[in-house]
Amino acid sequence: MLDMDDAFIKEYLAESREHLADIENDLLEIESAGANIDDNLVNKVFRAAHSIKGGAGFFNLHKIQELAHRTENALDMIRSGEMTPAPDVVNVLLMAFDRLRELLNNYQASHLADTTEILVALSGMVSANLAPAKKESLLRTVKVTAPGVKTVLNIPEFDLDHAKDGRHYLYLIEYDMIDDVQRKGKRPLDVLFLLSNSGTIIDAMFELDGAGTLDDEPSDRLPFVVLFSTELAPQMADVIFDLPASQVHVLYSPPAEESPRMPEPIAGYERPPEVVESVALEEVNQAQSYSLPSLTAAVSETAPAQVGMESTLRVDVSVLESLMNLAGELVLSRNQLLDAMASGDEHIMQIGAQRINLVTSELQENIMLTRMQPVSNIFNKFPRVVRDLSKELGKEIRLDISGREVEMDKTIIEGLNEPMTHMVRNAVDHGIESADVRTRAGKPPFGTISLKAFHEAGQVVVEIHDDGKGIDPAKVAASALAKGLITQEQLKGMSAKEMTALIFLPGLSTAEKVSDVSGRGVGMDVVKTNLDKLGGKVEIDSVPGKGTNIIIRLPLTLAIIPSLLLSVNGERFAIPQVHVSELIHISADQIQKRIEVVGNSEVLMLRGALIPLVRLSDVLGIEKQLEDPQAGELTPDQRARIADRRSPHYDFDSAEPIAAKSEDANGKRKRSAIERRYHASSNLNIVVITTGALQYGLVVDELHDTVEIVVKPLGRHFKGLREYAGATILGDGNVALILDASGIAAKTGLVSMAGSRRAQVLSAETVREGTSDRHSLLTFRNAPDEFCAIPMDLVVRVLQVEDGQIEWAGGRRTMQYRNVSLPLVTLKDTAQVAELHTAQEKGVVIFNVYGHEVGLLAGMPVDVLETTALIDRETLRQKGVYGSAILDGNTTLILDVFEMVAASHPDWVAEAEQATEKSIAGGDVILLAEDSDFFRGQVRRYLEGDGYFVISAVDGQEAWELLEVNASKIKLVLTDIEMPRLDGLGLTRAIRADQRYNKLPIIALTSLAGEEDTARGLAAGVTEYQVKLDRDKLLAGVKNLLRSDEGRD
Amino acid sequence: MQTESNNQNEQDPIIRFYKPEGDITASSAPLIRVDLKNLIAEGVRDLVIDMVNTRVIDSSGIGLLVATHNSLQRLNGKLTVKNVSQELLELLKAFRLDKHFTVTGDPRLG
Repeated sequence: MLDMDDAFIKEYLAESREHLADIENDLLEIESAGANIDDNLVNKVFRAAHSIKGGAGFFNLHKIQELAHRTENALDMIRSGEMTPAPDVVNVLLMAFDRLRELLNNYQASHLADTTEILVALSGMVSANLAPAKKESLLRTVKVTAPGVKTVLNIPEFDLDHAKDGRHYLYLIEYDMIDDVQRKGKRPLDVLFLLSNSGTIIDAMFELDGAGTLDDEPSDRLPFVVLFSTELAPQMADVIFDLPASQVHVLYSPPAEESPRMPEPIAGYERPPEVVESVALEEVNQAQSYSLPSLTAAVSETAPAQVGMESTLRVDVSVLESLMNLAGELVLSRNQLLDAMASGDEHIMQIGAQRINLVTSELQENIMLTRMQPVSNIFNKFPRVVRDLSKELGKEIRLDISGREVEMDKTIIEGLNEPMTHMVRNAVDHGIESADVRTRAGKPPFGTISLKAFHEAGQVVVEIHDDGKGIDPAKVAASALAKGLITQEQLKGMSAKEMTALIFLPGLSTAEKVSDVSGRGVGMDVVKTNLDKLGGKVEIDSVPGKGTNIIIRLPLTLAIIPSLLLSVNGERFAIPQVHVSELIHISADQIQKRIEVVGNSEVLMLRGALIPLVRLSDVLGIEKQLEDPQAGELTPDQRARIADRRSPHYDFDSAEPIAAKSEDANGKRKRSAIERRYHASSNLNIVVITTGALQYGLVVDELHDTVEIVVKPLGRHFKGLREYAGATILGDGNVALILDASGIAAKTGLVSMAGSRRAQVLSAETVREGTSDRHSLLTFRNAPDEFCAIPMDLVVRVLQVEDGQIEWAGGRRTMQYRNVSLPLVTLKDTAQVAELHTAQEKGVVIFNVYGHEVGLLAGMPVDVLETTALIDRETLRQKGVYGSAILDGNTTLILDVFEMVAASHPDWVAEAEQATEKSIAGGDVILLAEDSDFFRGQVRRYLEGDGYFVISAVDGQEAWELLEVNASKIKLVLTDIEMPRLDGLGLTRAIRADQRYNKLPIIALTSLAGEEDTARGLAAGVTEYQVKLDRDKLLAGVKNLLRSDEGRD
Repeated sequence: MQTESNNQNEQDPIIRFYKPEGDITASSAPLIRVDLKNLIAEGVRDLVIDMVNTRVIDSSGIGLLVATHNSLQRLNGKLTVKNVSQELLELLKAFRLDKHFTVTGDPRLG
């Protein structure tokens, strides 16, 4: 049986929920404003109760109607100033709305509910504040009717008084069920809903008497009478009513001047309606124009859906319109494609396919937009939660919320609800200390919890911060150890942050006593699981005594995620981009240097940190096969290890390598000729993966593109496989499994390397190297997301250029610069990088090498950075790329302009080399001692560029040794100060002390330029000080010293 | 034997059934009206109208049902309308007439 009510009730419920969504926050605001009543806000809440009442009446939901009615009365008293919104009043109102929500959620059973308690509370409040005369009006009813209307309505006087508030018109309208409703193709409920969108139905009655009795003349009038209150003046109201004038009676019109509080009715309803109407007509002529919010179908803003209960959404009309447009575009493109396929026209087919490609992407984006909801949907309930909870626990807590308008996919918001509630409650319960504990600790007595939401790097970030007592990593670790959740060995390697992150393990609870408020330690692991399911990451950062910061990162949408495709043994897998932090290629000859063995794990050295490595084929149980490049045969790869047998092996606690092991004991090893040789298949492709606090490297065969994939869940029978997070269908129709970053880590029992001795040694070295050298770099972009840098001291000038200025001559790019043709190079000429985007703003960086001016064509913007960041010479090394560094959070390629120019202008290099030879013949050899690879390379280049021959050493000791061997040729020593083994000053002293060399000019290169250092240097025997790194000054200084030397000789 | 004059008819049972032959529209309504009037004049107070044969009902028909209800009510009687088809049920519900007199659907049609 179809229940006509269903669709309408659903709409009523949906509207009621919307009204109720913000009510808590509004009431709390009203409470804090106290006697300073915000009319708009109170009105808003009043209207909410009012419309809930109206609809409830219509659907005969009497309990709801009554409760809403009494609530409305109370709110009206606040509105009129008769009652102040003191906390106890607001409490009752909060309870009333809570109850309304409950009743609405289970409306079918609502008539069985017991609402006496709240009703008594409400009426108690109301009567306590009502003037006696008014109290009577609550009980009296008044008969309302109009001439010619057979029906008489009985309306409580109280309600009538309120309807005549000086702003609203009061109409009594008669619909005839047949003529005005049925014949016009409407239904009574349609009429009612239309009305309720532009005003309030105080009462409505379907008058049966109008049909008379069997004895009367048959009549087809079935009058349906509505008492309606609205701000709309008659001209506009008539549009909505769509009734003949005789069926519309104006019972009350507001006066021209607004007096919202205590209005005086123009005409009482007892007076003959003619008088009222004529007065009303006058008023109407002066009426303002009202916007008709419901007559236009557009909803001007996306209204929030109540979390977790809604199966409907409100969508902005503009989004729907663009969807319509796109659908149209899609149809056109499809037609085009079909046509082209029929006629075999490939060109048109391509165009069609392109169009479909574009339209599909846009369509997908727009559809995603319909699902976006503001995070305020969940944030909004927290003020109440914190308020109630902190009262219960006797703590004073302030809640700051920012980023309410940040939008996320509806499902993600719903999924975020529980975890956030849990964490906020945790913060209140376990985080913030009681007032006296805080004061003793020197903190303000009130605690602060802040919730923040914002977008970052294509993700949504939600932060929960509290300034409470923080989490003690040792305690957490101890608890985890005691519960057998981790082993002693695993604990050994953990950093403080990793120990704190143990709180996400199931079964952990460090609360001293079980408190009802937040649960029995069943919380954080569920939080993590829930967030994992949403494709999110959660990190926890805590300083014991200071506070805790929880950072949740979520994808913008669930269903489609950018992922990296990779393959093992030809089989493709995908891994979500969010977990991939870097891609590293290690050629066979570098393995020995970059891969080490620490304890039982093979690790990669990456910029001073140790990353444990895992072979994907091992994890997934895929048999690795080696392809013989000549014969093309596949044989099983029995190399058990990634590391070369000559790679250094370390014990977990030792800083010195164990003597290189002979072949490992993993069974027999077939030492075929293939394995002994290093060739392409010995190269390593490593994907550096970050999940939460753990980082590891996944060794795979090949790396492919980054694509956007649609995530399909795996079937139930795959649930036990932790390595996989889902599956997807690739563009070519093949299935690829999606890897689960944390699942793989768990399965392989990865041990963190952070705590090992070797890692500590490495990081100490790194720090030392990092702080001593300061680089001044000019940064710019190659492709829009490729960052590059060159040393500032090479740069002569930077120009912004238009595409039109770039010319091609003899296969090379040039441009006119100062009336000369300036040769241009781009990074793409020598290295494997992306092409410069045509839409990019371009610039030319001019520098001088090998005696010529050259322009480097690159992308703007351009910036200058002073940094002590580490330059990694290994990772991204290619021709033209010296190395890489992380600058401002971006992996930046440090360009080697010399190499770049050498590749495109070998003739210049030849010239320069000739000059160098000449100088060798002439005997100008310079000894360079510098431990930083980067600076050593730079300085060498400058010197060679000026025609000198350079012998270089990495530290003072080596320099000394080289000096001894080449003494006769060396004419000048250029040395760094800070070096291992023998530093610059030591070298200088040694040189000065030795008869053979003590006349050599010594230039000290240093970042240290204080007076004390200069004095010390000069005392040691340094001839001249040069600050790193000013090329021109350096070369001038060298030239000077050599010339004067010659003079001397 | 109760002798409350309003509620009983000496000969006939209290509940009386009436089944229109077809639709209740402007053409058929007047005749049905006469029938119903007679029934009430005979003393029927508890009337059940069986709509199993009725597919269409227009304004006259609805007016007739309501008038019947009104008449019965004045005499402390009661109207029941049964075996109403899906569509008619919706219509009657839309007018909320089911709140005034009992309306039940046709079990066969569900």
